[in-house]
This record gives sequence, structure tokens and C-alpha cells, in this order.
Amino acid sequence: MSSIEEALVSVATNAESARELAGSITSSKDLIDTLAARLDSIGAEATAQRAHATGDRAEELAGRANALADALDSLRQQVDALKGLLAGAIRGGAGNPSWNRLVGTASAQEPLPLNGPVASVAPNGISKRHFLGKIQMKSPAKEQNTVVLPGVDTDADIAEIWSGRATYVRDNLYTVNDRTYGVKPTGTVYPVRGKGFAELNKLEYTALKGLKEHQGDREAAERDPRIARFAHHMTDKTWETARNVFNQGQERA
Amino acid sequence: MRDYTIVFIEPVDLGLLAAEVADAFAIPRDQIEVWDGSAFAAPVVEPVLAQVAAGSEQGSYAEFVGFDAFASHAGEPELLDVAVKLATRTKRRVLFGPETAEEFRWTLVAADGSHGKVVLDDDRFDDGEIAIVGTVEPIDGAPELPRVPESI
Repeated sequence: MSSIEEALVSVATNAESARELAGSITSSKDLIDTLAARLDSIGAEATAQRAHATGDRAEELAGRANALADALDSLRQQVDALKGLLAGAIRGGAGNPSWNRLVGTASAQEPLPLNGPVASVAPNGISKRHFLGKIQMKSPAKEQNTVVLPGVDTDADIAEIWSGRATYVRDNLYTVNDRTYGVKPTGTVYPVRGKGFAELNKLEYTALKGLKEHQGDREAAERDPRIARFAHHMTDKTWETARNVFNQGQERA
Repeated sequence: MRDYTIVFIEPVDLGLLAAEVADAFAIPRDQIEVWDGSAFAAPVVEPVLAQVAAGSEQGSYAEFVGFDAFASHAGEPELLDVAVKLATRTKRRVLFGPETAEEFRWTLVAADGSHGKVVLDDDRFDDGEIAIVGTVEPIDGAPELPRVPESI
């Protein structure tokens, strides 16, 4: 049973309990009214007045219990409507074509259990500095940089992670389609390694930025002050690695 | 390839930084490059062992960079140890990035050498800016930084 179904059952049960409570209080009120009438008949007016006041209080409580039951019924209807909206969003893929493709297999099934960050936050995409096509000169180069090559359907991988079909590795890491991703608790996804990913060190990533900025012209890139800074540290191998990734981007684009 | 990139998130004079690097790691001054953002300040002697440079991102005032030659010269120190040494000598806060592709948290070292993991703003980092969202553990020397959940 999904958590939404559990919530629906729980709300309905609580509404029923509230109505039972209201009924019990009403019955008590009837008994108190009977007692008050008898007290009146024997002349115990002061005690009878207190009994009437207690009966009025019981009536008020019964009314509140009924109002609570009504509110819970309304909540159940809202949760039910929300469930329908969620199902529609999943089927519609929330505008994401990759999700649309998955729904044929996913929407009719019970959700799979989720582990790691995606159990509490929806994965919401990969930062642009990881995409070969979106890398800019201002994209920061870290010690390790994983670049997504064109043609890799990361949206589909992310949908798999969110559906629970990816393999949960540990901590915040998931593997799907021979690719490993990390998911931050904010929902941001980042590529780690795998098929269709290129792992570059700081200098290789910097060289790649230079090749992109200068349309593949290494000499022009090496003259760029933002690259020239590392002239004493970059080697031919640095440039070959960057060139290989750059070329893969050209071929796959 | 070893990569010792340490980002200064408080202003520091490049000449002073170069001098501290030379002293801390016994590097001849003329084997340290000083990059002012557009050119080298002076000729260097090969092999170049380290570089100090103007910051390359918004929010970065300066960088220390060392690669394999630095590692070999300095005895393969841990990145954290290098960062602590530079932060305490210059009395400036520094940051260094994750050392593996799996990790996403950065490490902040305060001027007093206290340190801990921090999380950067992804969107701003994407646009070339270093901005700390918060710390994931207490850092004595950075008490004003907000805490973010441990799991981050």
C-alpha cells in the first residue's frame, strides 16, 4: 500500500472515530438532561441547573466532534483529489519527455521503495557545468570534473532514480544504465562516472573549456590568458585528453 | 595527478601569499608563479613548484595551486594540511573542493585552523561564483555561518 493510500485510510478512520465520539457525547447529554429533569421534579433546583449546564457543555462538545469529523472527511476528499493529480502528473511526465516514456511501465504499478536522498526530495536536474554542450569559460574547474557527453539521456536516468528502479549504492549514490550519479539533499543531481561520462582533472577540464571557447583551436586556447596561466603545468597529454572529449562532443552533437 | 587548489575567500596580497608559501614549504621564491589575473608577475625558474594567483571565480580573492611537482617537493602532504598551514599563516579563510567525484561538499578552513565541511550554492557556482550556503558541522572559526542539515 502506498503512503497516500495509508493516509487516506488513516484520515477516514479518524473521521469515523470523531463521529463515534460525537454520538457518545450526545448520548451522555441525553442522560444528563433526564437527570436534570428528575432533580427539578424533587426540588433540587441548584443541582438541576448545574446538570443543565453540563448538558449544554456536552452538546457543544458533540457539535465540535461532528465538526472535526466533517473536517476530516473534507481532508480525505482533498487527499484523494491530490492522489489523482499526482497520478496525472506522473502519467503526463510533468512536461518531461523522458518521464513520458517511462510511464508506460511505471504508472500502473505500485511505487518502488526509495533509498537515500530521493526518499525525501525529488531529484531536480544536473548543473549545466557538467554538460559538454553547456560548459563555458566561467564554469569552475574542480579537482575532479565529470562531463556528460551529448546523447546521454540523463533525464531518463534521473526518472529511473526517482522511480526507485536505479540501484542504490550507498549514501547519496545511485547507479543506473551503467552510470553512477550523486543526489544532494537539495535534489540537485551530479554525474560521477560511467558510460557516456568523461572524467577530467582540473587541467584537462580547463583545456576543454579553452578548446570550446576557441572552436577547437589549441594554439588560440593556449594564448588565452585564462588558459596561459597553466602553461607550465599542461602537457600534450592534457590537451589530447581534452581534445578527445571535445571531438566526441562534435561527433555526437 | 595530485591537485592542491586552495581558494582564499578573503582578500590576501599575492606577494605575501607567495612569501608564506615559500616559507611554509621551503620552496625557492623564484619557483613560485605569481599570476595577477592577466600575466605572470615575474619570470620563474623551472621546475615550477607552485602558483599563487588572483581568484578565478567571483567570491575568490586568490588561489594557491600545486600539482605533482609540489606534492613531490613537499612530501605528499594531505590537502587539508596544506590548507590549514596557509589559512593560519595568512590569517585568512580558505576553501578547497571535494577530492573525489563522489563527494560534493567543500571544506572550509578558518583563519584559526578550525575546519569543516560546507555546501556551496549550486546555481551560483554554475555561473562561476563561490557562495557558501552553510556548514554541515560546527566550525569554531566560522560561527556566523548557518548550519545546514547533517545529511547534506
